[in-house]
Amino acid sequence: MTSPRSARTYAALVRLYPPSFRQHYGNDLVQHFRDLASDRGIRAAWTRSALDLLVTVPRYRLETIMHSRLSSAVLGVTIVLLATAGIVSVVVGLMPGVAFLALAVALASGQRSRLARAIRVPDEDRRRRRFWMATALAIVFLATLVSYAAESRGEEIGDASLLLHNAVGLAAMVGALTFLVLGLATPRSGGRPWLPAGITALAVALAIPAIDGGELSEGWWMVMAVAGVAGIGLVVAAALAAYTATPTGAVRG
Amino acid sequence: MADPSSHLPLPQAQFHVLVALTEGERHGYAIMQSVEATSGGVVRMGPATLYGTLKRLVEEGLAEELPYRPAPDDDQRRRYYRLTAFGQQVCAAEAARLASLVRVARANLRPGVA
Repeated sequence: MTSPRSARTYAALVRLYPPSFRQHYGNDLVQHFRDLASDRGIRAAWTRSALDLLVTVPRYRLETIMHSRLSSAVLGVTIVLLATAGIVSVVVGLMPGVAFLALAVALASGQRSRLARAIRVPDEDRRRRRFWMATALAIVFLATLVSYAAESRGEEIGDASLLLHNAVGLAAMVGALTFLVLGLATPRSGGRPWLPAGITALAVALAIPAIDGGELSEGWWMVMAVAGVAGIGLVVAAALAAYTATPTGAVRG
Repeated sequence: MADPSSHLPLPQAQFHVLVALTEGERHGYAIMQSVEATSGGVVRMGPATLYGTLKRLVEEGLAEELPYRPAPDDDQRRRYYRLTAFGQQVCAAEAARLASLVRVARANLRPGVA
């Protein structure tokens, strides 16, 4: 015998499923619950359905999130934010930041194929546009550092200006890294990551003294040198690639 | 034409539902009953697990919804499912794969255990 109240309660719980699943199968689920209750009793129906709800609601919700295109961008931003939080935490001496870094790496490696599949669109220029967006944001990041250096000239700058520089610089850095990650995850169809990666690495090298307050340890000098050399190398490689790609360059080369 | 082996190995729930559909056109509750019967009561699928599995099978072209009700006196709201030709091929390929695995297990296990 089916209790109307039990069926109503179950129907209310069905609303926890993602809309697409609920709209297509909602009535079938409730009918199934009624059949179960009528065949095997209310208790048996609830035992099976409650466990099922506990397992499938989060699973179907997660699947819906992971399959949407928007979520790929959200996932990319999350990875970059976690990585940034991890780097900043380690720089200021908070070792738990390593956990953020590890989580970012795990998410990036675990979701790379899904991310690439989800953002595959019939637009051959998408990868190229993402790298150009990353380049533009990396230039903004670099410009913020130059502006900060020019304004301070060895002196303390005002709180408002410091806040503005930090906010714009951090947003530009996160944006540049996000578009770089999204570009790399986009199936190869043109566009190279060297220029945005190079400018970002250069900007990171220049940002290290600002983050560390000017007193750099030997380790940070090393990190700065590596980022600087890598940045210069990547920018030169990008310039050479652009040069040899032109018909004139090809003849000269 | 897609390759049936590209779907292997099938998740356990999908294989059970496909096997239930080899018996003929079924609605959700009948599929659940069939799965329980063929598995000796070991596999008990909840409602959303069952419909999530059916959704996946339909999306992958292994099963399809019937546009009509096979039993005219049945509840018109019930949705019926059947195997597609491709679903039959995938089901047969999975059955062959499992049969081969069972043969190896039987050959390797001590007499009296397998």
